[in-house]
Amino acid sequence: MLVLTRRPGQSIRIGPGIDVRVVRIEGDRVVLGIAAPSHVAVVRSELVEQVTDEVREASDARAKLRVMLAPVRPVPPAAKEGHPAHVAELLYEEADPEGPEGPGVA
Amino acid sequence: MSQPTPPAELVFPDGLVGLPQLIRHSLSTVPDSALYELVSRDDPAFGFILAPADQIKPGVTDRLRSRQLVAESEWVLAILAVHGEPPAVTANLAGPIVIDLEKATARQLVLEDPEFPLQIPVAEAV
Repeated sequence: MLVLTRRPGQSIRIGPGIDVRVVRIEGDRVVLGIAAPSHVAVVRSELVEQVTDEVREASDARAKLRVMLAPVRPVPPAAKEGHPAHVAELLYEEADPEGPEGPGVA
Repeated sequence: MSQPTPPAELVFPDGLVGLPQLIRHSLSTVPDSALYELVSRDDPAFGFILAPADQIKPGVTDRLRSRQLVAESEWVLAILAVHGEPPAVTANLAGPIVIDLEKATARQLVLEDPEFPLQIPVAEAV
């Protein structure tokens, strides 16, 4: 890993189009300004980890989600208790009354 | 507004974020819904439910297109999860799935923007 020492106002350049400037130092926090092309994603590393964790949790919750969403289909009213019907209204408002279509229909 | 018909097979050339080994996937509609289910062909135990991002939060796709993060031929979906007690459905707008309908390829973005939260409650999304 390359380690550089910079002062507030100084910057480093990464490749042809990315500049990272030390804006200021606040206690134990460093405020950085980053200029990069729009197609370059600039995100905190922990956010990347959070997105990965969220994807894993979504996979783990797939079966539970199916159960939670199932009551929005025509079922006895009692089965809807405890489930957020408004979720159904959002997610099923464009359901095709003729049934699903297109390739890959489960 | 009608939904586009997604390709049945999707290739994520770079995999999912933090999961680069998950490249080949199947995408199907969830019957009687506007939802989709993506299942990894590389790990069939791995998969999740998705909803069109614009139904979770209107204008998401246009906003991403204006930032040149999404092309005209691409379609944006949000991964749904379950959190809390009692369990509630949330959508992940910080890591949306972007599908190129013409090339049958996809990628996952990571968005550093409070307008695109990691867990937006679906019930509060409209």
